[in-house]
Amino acid sequence: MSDCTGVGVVGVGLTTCLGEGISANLTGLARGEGNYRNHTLNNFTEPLQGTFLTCRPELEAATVRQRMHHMLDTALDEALQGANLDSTQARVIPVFIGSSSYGIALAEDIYAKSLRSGQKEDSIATPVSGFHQIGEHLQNRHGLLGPDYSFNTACTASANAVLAAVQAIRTGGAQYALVIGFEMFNLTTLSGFAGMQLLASEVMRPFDIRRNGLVLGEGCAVLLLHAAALNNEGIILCGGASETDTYSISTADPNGSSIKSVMLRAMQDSGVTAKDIKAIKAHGTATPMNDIAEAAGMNAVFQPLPPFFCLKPYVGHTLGACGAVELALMAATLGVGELPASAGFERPDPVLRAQPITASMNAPPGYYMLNYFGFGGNNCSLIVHSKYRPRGSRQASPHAT
Amino acid sequence: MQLEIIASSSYYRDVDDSEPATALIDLKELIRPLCRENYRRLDRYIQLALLGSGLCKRNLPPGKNLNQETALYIASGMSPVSSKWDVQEQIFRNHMPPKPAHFINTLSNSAGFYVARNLELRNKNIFVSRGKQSFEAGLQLLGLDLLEAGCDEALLGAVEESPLPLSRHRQRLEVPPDTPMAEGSHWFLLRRPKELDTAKTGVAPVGYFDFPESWLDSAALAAWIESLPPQDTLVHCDSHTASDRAFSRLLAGMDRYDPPLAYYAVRTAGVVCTFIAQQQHSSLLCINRDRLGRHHVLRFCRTLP
Repeated sequence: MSDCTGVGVVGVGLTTCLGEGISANLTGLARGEGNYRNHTLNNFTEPLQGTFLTCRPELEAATVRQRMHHMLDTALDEALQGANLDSTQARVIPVFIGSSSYGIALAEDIYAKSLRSGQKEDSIATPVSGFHQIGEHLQNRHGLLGPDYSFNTACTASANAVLAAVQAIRTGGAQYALVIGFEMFNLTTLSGFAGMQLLASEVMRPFDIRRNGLVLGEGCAVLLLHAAALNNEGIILCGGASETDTYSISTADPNGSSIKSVMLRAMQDSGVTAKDIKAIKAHGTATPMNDIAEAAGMNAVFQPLPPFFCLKPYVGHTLGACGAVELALMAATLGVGELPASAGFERPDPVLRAQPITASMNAPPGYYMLNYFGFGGNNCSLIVHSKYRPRGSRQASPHAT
Repeated sequence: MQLEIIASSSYYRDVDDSEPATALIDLKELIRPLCRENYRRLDRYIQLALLGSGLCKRNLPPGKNLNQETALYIASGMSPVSSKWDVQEQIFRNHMPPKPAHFINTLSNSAGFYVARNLELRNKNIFVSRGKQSFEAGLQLLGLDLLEAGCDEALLGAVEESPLPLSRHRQRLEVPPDTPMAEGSHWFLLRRPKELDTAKTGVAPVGYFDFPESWLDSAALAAWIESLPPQDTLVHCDSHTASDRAFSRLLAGMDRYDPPLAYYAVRTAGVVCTFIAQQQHSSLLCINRDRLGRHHVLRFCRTLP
């Protein structure tokens, strides 16, 4: 298989609960687990317990708007650092944003303050349109005036944003494109997931027999994409696919057929076959149903399964941001030639016939798959090509468990 | 590049809550004959999407079926705002977590799920927003998809609701308190032009969109408008553009088109649908300036330019 003619990832910025910046995130991955914090939501008639992975806990005293802007600015600055974009290029660059919550946290804050101020009759729920908040900040603060697109397709939002950005470059409509994935703590999401009984009691254990749900996280990732293929090092986006599974609005078909379908389409789009895939970044929400469907889909496409791993136990499920956040993390780990162990996994589930790696392993140059699935039947799969070579001395082990 | 419109549909209704009981008509009976299943717990936004998409399918030319590989795009300025509103009231006023079905309805792509299920689609289901230029954003994305052959046909819906009480919704939208409001669901089935196919089937397309553009440079846009071939073109534009010195001379020679549609974020889609239905002039140029000074431009022509 020759190198794909894809789109280069030439800048990456990342803020998650593991820290600010790629370096801090790699250190956090090496530490082996996420920065779990338990939240008790006292504003309900019966207090709700929810574990959450928070960015920069020390910023909790800041206003919601300040935290939001800090997360965006930090990741954007890192992604653009060294990119040598001139002001004209930056001014016209198209911006593809993916988020589940957008400005919901801001809307909640304004509404709650209004209610507390005693103006109950005049208080308006959803007082601002959340969709504007990210794009407007990028335009006003950073002068990014190119066409902006706010994707809202649940957990595949920023993965779909990546696919659209790749299309914009492939069709010659843009030389550069920015992808933003953003998710921030808010009560609507946390209580909504709690109400659906999808939250883990403690930690995430994807593909483990004891898995009992997910832990939400917040984060921001910025990816700068460029048309020019990279020569010796780097990550190239070869392609991908997005499909709809109408089995259920909240889960993929457990027989794995829709997940198989989107993975096959992604590989076809990228000009690769199953045997070319070195490893898979699984969606791995650790909910009973997701992992059944995902394992069934992977087993239907790959025989044998390549090594696979999950990043959510480290950074939480960042929902609409996870497409960009986990791609940024993946780019970082491939950049150091290593795949991380799948934290939280200890005991295999015989029903799944799929076990993620439990120790870090070398990541050779080649093709890697990243999977994302969301509410509303949205399934998405991306293929990247890594030109990085492992820097460590360890030998790759095909199946660490 | 042009995008060929195979079929379109339009649902539009003024929303006036001076008589709250009749301000919003019940959509259930309108949807029932368009649905394969009896879907439950649908909010108004999903109902609007099912209605518009179902009508678009009904308007397909004879012999044309909807391919399951059709990509689905929904564009909206506010998405299911009434469901979001209800859930936040539940949390902050009633201090209760949202019920699962209500929470799911707050997701913008839930509408796309039901449309895909109803029309038996399996390709992508994308929801996109860009304020009052959401329709243009959806058309741009869909155009990229068609151009790159990510799909052969794509269905685009521009869907917006106006929940009651309108006074609060107007505050949310930061529009004057006496602004007339509306809801709408406007749909287009599009593909790359296939002249041979049209000749074979004898079915003329509804029309064509130019690939829509967002312009940062007013002078460049003005030059582009000046370069357009003289034809029977009407222009629909916002008041800022109309009074802009760069455009006033150019636009002075074109007749304006501003059908009596009330305010909703995807009004441009409603304007295009109204133009299509009137069957009078050959093309329509829509220019909308946003608050950053960017102009979002789309052109509809009844025949290939």
